[in-house]
Amino acid sequence: MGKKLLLKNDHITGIQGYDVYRREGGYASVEKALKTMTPEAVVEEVKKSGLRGRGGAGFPTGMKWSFLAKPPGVARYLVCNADESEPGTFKDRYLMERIPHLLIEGMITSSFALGANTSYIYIRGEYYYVARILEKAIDEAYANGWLGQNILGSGYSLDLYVQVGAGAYICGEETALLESLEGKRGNPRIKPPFPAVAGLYGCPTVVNNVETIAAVVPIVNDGGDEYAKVGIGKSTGTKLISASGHINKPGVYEIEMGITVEDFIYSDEYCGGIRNGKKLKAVVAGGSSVPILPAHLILKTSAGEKRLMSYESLADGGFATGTMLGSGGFIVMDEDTSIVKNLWNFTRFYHHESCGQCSPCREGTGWMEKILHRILEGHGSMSDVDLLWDIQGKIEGKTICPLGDAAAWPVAAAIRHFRSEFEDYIKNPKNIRDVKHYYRLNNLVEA
Amino acid sequence: MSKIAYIDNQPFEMKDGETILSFIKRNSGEDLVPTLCDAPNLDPYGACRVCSVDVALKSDGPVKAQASCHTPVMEGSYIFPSTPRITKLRKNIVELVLTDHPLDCLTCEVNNNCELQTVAAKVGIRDVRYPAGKNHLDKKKDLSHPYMTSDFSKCINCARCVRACDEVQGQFVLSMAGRGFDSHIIKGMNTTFNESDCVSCGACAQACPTSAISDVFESKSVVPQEKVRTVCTYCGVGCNLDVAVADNKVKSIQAPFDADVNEGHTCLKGRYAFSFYDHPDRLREPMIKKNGKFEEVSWDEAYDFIASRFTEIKKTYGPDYIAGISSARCTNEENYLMQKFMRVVIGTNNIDSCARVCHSPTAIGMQRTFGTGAATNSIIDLQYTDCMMVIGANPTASHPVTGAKMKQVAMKGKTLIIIDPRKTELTKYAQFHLQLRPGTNAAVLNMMLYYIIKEGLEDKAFIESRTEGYEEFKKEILALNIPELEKVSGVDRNLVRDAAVAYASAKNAMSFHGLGVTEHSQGTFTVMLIADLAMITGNIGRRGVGVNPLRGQNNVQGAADMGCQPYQGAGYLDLKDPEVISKYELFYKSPFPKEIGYKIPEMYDASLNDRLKAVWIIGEDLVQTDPNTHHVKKALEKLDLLIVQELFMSETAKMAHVILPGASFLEKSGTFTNGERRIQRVNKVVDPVGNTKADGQIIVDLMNKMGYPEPDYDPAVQLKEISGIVPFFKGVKWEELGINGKQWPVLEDGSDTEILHLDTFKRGKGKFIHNAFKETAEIVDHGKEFPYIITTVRELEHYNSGVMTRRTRNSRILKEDVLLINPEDARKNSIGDGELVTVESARGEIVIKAKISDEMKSGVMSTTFHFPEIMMNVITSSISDSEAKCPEYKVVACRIRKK
Repeated sequence: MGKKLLLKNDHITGIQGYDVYRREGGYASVEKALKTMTPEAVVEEVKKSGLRGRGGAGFPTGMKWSFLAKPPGVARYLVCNADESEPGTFKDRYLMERIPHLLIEGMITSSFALGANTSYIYIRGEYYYVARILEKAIDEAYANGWLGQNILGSGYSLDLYVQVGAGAYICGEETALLESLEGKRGNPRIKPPFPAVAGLYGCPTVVNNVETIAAVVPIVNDGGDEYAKVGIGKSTGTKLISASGHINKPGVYEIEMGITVEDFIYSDEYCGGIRNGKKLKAVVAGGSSVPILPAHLILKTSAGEKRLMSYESLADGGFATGTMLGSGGFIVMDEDTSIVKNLWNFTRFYHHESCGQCSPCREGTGWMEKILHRILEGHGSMSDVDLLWDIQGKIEGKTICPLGDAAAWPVAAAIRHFRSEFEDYIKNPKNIRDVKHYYRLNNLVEA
Repeated sequence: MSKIAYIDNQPFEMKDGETILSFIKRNSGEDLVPTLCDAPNLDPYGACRVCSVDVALKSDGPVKAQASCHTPVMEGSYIFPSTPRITKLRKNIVELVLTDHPLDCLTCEVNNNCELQTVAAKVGIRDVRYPAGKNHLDKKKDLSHPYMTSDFSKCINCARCVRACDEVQGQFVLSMAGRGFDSHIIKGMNTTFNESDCVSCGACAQACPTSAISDVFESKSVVPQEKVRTVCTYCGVGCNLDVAVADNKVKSIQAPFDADVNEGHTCLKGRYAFSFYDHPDRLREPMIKKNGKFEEVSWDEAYDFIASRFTEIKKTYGPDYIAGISSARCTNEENYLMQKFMRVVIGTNNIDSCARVCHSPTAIGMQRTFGTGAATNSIIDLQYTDCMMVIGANPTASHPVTGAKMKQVAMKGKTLIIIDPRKTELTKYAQFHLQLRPGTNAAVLNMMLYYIIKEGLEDKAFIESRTEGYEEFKKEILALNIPELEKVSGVDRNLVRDAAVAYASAKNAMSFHGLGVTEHSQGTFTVMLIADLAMITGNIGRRGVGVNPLRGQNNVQGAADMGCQPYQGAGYLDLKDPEVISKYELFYKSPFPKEIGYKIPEMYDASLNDRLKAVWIIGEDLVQTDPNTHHVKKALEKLDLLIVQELFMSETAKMAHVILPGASFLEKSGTFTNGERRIQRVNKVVDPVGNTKADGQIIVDLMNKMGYPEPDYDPAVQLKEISGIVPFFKGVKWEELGINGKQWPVLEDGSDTEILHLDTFKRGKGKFIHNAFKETAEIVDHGKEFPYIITTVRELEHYNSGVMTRRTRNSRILKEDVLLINPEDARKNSIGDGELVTVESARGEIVIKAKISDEMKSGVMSTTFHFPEIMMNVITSSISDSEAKCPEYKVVACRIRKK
């Protein structure tokens, strides 16, 4: 059994409520930080821990915190990004609904470290019921003196709010999230200025993922060095993985970073192998936006080494033969999966979720969906594959926010690794059976 | 050490904080990098990505495409604006945009003038590789509005219109709705232009790169034969206008981006309300009233008639039986000529202008405290101020471009204090609204001074070194009866104290005031109190501070500068001083009248007392706009000779013996001086319509007729003469004014002045003068019998008597004068919204439609006098400011009843 730092108590009955959580040692990090540490010391522990952002980009959290501008007399904010919307990713939801107080505790300790006296949890609208769970936990925290004025007599005060989004993927992008939190249309902001300088209401702001903030709790409790001992290389600690697709045991797993991908897919502790004894075809390892890899490249790197569940190993080989750990949305596809159809489904999503601000993304995502749809309808031509390649290349890195990249990468990777499947659809339209059926079944409007 | 970055491996010096785009534009030309969502007066937006360039952080380093419009230049970076990779990217992006754009360029309104078309041509689109797909080509046009139009099938989602509405006008009417491909522009809550809160400023139409938003003049379609830069005739802001002309007709007007005053913005009056100029109602021929009827006559006949009548009256009664009223709508040169005509040709100081009825108290009040009556600072100072105090002014309606700038400053978190009986638009953005009873400005300002001293917030060093009279002043302020002042003004003393503290503790505080300060019996005294506030807090003589009257008419500053005042000659030289008289006599080589002349209100009394026989009025409708209409009419009726020089048959013109058809601002050249002392060139756009003439030429013609040789009207010639006598015009030369003019004083070497009183006041030391609050006679005499107060105001859509704006489509937007009445007052008097109300004062009564609004507080009502149907001034009084004789338009005691 691997070490668990976040979910070690998730099986305990009543852990959702304050009393059980507290009985199991909850809020110790707040006590420790507020009573025995300075904010700078907390930041130092987080730096030592090597914790990296769990939302997808993997940026070192301690460094992000140290970038926070601290002009005198100006408020600072901590905003928790709970807008978990990446297809294939559901770990934050699990954490929040199972152990809501862990996030609240992490928010208090982190806010203290950053000198924020008002903090927000921005949660996606679809998680409305989870927002209710968090609000209840916040009420309990206020009632027990962990939130409000002068917490534990330390002189430190914090108000914590939950804000529910209105159902836009784009609001998971940190600046769009801030716009939405301010009550505006959720369009990403141009950078600079970065949120660390001018974020929420123009004030210095840190935006962190749910899992990142939760990880601050064991870091403060056990010390950054202790946390850094778990994991491998610069991928320290544990990571929550949302496993889905054609596997025997889908679900959320807390893994120690550094286990092999093969272990993760096939061991009984985790996914338990491919469903119905089928063969593995491909994996999207870090949420729908990261490049898809065929079986041979996900299990081993191009150099023939075993691929590990870590930031570095998954990225080994760059986009040519590697991928990203991303948000840990691990989607497994068996031998019967149509890569083209799967890709079309992903592009539908990004077309639907593009905010419409940047012209390449607004127009390009639509055309990628339309062209894939055309291929799946049996009306594709060989030049369509090149056109797809062209469009994704004009979106990637050419937009204000990373949604453009997220929309472009799956297309690029699918063509890179599975070009023949596209060509097969185009050459043999008879292989296509059920696209229209799929539309009718799911009550969708054709593009 | 200067910082360097490279464009195509060529080193260039960079500026801190500069974007890559501005860096490239500055060094490699404006047109090298194509853009779609970028606009000169908007913040970078970064959405179209057409401006992408390749950037490497070191020589031969890896390149990355970056949007140049918002990415700062990095020191030592290598920028490649047009690599094959980048040009292909641009082409692909524009191609994608074109997949959802109708390709009907040949019949499009902006054909040949479309930014999308230009960019598509530049990147070389030859083919759109995408088949027909979902698009927005079926969007309906919106033609609901008198000016604004939209056709969103042409929209490319650059959001320039939304940003113009937000960042330039601050109206927030336009917004982006929907997501992704469904993104689309909406007005208000997805309604039409006409139904929305649009103020028709046209900023969106000018910002739109295609014809998605335009106007009825198809302003962007016009490929004019000629574009003439001139200055707006409406208000004292002095917006520069680019007028498109074809076949001697004005086609449309846009706001130039390189104008210091308005920076690419203007309001619906400046941009759209120009069609009055060739309206069928324009007076086109000189006319003489014969047997009670106007008959068209030749110019010569009109001149002969006037010259012989003037000569006769002068001979029979003397020159002081003749008076002239010059026009603040006319140019400096024309005003100069008019006062010269009266003083040198006729021989009287009976010359006044409409400055009398607006900012004459400002001139006197500031002359006595600072030494000169003009705005101490410039509009650009708004960028540097931390606190704005707006007293008795509604800039978003009356000075729309300045008002819009104030909104932007307030929205960026700067303090805004409003002292006004109305909830003006700006109050929404204000931290403090001191909603006082009309006529009690002096009470509130005295309270503020009291609290500043009480809280110890005076700027002692400034008071010590730069002012005089403070000790006595302080004694009088500290002796004030605050509870009494609180009671008369109706403003909570704590609110006044907080506002005073905010003003006094701001690093730089700027005050603005309008006619709500001056058009009172205590107008001049109130201006002095504003000056006192600036001096006591040391807010004079640097960026972002000062006392800034918002001048009403386009050239009201200039009319006074040129000497159209009965007690000061050209350049404000005091006529009571014998040396000044000698100076003028020497300059004009002619005898100069020594007696102080009549101010406008005194002219009425003189006429009624048989001491005035002839008046020549240029461009002012006394009957509709001066207070106490019956009194005005009686006085004008009694004259032997009334000459009215006008554009239209105004209420005053109807009473004239001779009508002279003048030319509008579009038909002549000259200079206007705006509210920040900026002398700007007015350039003739079209020939005068019909048989009309420039007002200046008419004056010159009459001078010659009366035997005084004067060269033809030519601004360059008259300006040269003016620079010889008006001290602060010394260095003004027509050829050197450039596109943005110069702010006086202009020194001999041509350098101008943005901020007055830098090190010393014009008068040496600034003088503290205390003036106690005194209730106006209107309330004292009539308050019991007439318990309500009516105050007169302006609306955005119309200008003053509306003689011009009513002859444009503005009258479709605002159709009539209404009485704004508080819901409680309406209920008490059983008045419903839209019902007719009889409003009665001690002078007379009017009938007007009620509009129930919480803009006014209970007991106070307001109305406008833009329409002659109402003749609001029947009820206003002849009470005027004790010093300047500016009428008290702002306080009329009245009673109301449902008609």
